[in-house]
Amino acid sequence: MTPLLTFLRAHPPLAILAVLVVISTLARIYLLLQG
Amino acid sequence: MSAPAAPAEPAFEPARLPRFLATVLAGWWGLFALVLPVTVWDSQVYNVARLRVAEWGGILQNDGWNSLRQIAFPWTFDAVHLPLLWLGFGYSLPSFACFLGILLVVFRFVCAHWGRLRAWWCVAAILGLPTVIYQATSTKNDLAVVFGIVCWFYALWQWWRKPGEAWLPIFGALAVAFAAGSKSSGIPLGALACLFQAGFHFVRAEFRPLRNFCLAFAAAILVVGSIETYVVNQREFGRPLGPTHLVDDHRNRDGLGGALANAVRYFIGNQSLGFDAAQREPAFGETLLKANHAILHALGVEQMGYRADFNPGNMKFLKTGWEAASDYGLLGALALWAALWAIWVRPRPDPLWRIAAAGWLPFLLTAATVAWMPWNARFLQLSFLAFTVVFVLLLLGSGTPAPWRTRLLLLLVLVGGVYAPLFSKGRTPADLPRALRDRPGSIIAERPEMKPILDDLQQRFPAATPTSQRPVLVYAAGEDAWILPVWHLRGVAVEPLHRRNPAQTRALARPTTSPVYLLLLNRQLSPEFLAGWTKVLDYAPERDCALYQRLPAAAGK
Repeated sequence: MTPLLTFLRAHPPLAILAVLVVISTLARIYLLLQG
Repeated sequence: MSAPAAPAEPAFEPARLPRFLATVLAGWWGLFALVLPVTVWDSQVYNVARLRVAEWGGILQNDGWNSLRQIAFPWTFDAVHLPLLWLGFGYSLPSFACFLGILLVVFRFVCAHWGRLRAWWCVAAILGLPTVIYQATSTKNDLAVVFGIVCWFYALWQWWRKPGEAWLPIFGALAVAFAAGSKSSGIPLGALACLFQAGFHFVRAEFRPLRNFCLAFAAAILVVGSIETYVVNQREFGRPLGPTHLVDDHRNRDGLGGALANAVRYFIGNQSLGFDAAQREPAFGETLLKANHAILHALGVEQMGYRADFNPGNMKFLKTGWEAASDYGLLGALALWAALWAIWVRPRPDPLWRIAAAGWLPFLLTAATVAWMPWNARFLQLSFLAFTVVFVLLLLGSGTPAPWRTRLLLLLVLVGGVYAPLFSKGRTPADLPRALRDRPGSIIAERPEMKPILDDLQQRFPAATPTSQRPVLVYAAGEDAWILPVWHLRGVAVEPLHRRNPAQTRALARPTTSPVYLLLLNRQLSPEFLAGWTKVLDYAPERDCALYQRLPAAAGK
């Protein structure tokens, strides 16, 4: 994980993208499991 | 890209003014992103509203959808709002995060090639584009597409500067997939980005990063490409993109003629005096409309490019201050002309020519693919970002800019970023405390006719009612009904009426000791279905809004 974190620290726009992707993916998995 | 080397900065720091301006404006709009509730029409009907429906009944097997758009449109970005729905706060933070990401990329790119002064002015200028700041403080997904494409560009640009960082092609692929999964309009842009990146690596014989990009894109599209909405579409309508009429309605069906007509409409419609929203009568909008009709008539394309329900007789250039009904202000209008000038006059290898071309490409792509609607200005955000960078760099010129140039830019930023929002709908300084003090009023500002309905429901079903004693509220909603405010009700258990077989709705199919109510929101139900119900209140008969209660005899049937 360290090389990835180092990379994301150096590229804040991509860090924002990574956070949005993680939240979206978790939310969609959660919603897929509902019903 | 052959860009000039960054000029040497003078001893004093002239970037202090645009930096201060950008910081204050970004901080101000960040406050809005933090406190504003969900306000925009689309989110009340589908973007965010569908998260509640999915939370109730899942995605693949859900029968509670009431609007085709809840199923048909990709939702990767919309899903980010789920934790904020639980929190009840900060709904616009995902859009604002995208906005900050875009500003960071613009800053880094301009700073690397033209220096800090111009980079800060570009950032400040973007904060002077009304439609961009309204979208950045809303829950719409248009800015997320722009963010995805801008991140892809950033990753490729970083690779061009310093090849070898293996994560860059991977994140470039992730960014493209995120754009495509956030909104349908991200698909053609994403396809172009993929082709460009493949060509870029191929020409440079960089086959390893090309392979990494392709593999990462294949994986990313599965994870963030909103595949599930295509699966549901295929199952429901036999087409992955959704029902034929919905897709056809929203695409330009008139070929090159429609593309030309739409491009002219976008160009003319985004001319602005900067204070149009402050005018009681849209005089300038009317003038633009006449010019638009005259030009399109002369070109012979006046009837082309519209969505089916629009025509020369009812089209309007909206400059009302709503987030989807505004323009890019005086700065945006000047940037449009600057980009046109740059593309005609500047030599082709010139970096400004390339940035202008990068703006015109999505502009023309939107004109060619999307049917004209009055609220399409938001589709052009990527173009106006590029145009604004071109304008700022042209205005400031090379070397130390003359004072009048920076004063003019300051004035333009203040007009677009401070003055115009004073006349906006939902982004005036008064809207900030109002979002905290009168949250329901802020939520329904775009549809005030919802107020008596929500007021009555809140009084009828007090939030303090113990969970075990809460009645069930089944809603039957029309295609354009605002269902999200209904899901916000706390004193009642909300359930949508089943679409295919209403009788199978849980609260109706199973015996229940709780009172059961039926809310009609812009929808009619058959007299046979309503036979077991008694009408409690007619909210708005002309809009098919009423509240029913199940007759005791019908309970449990």
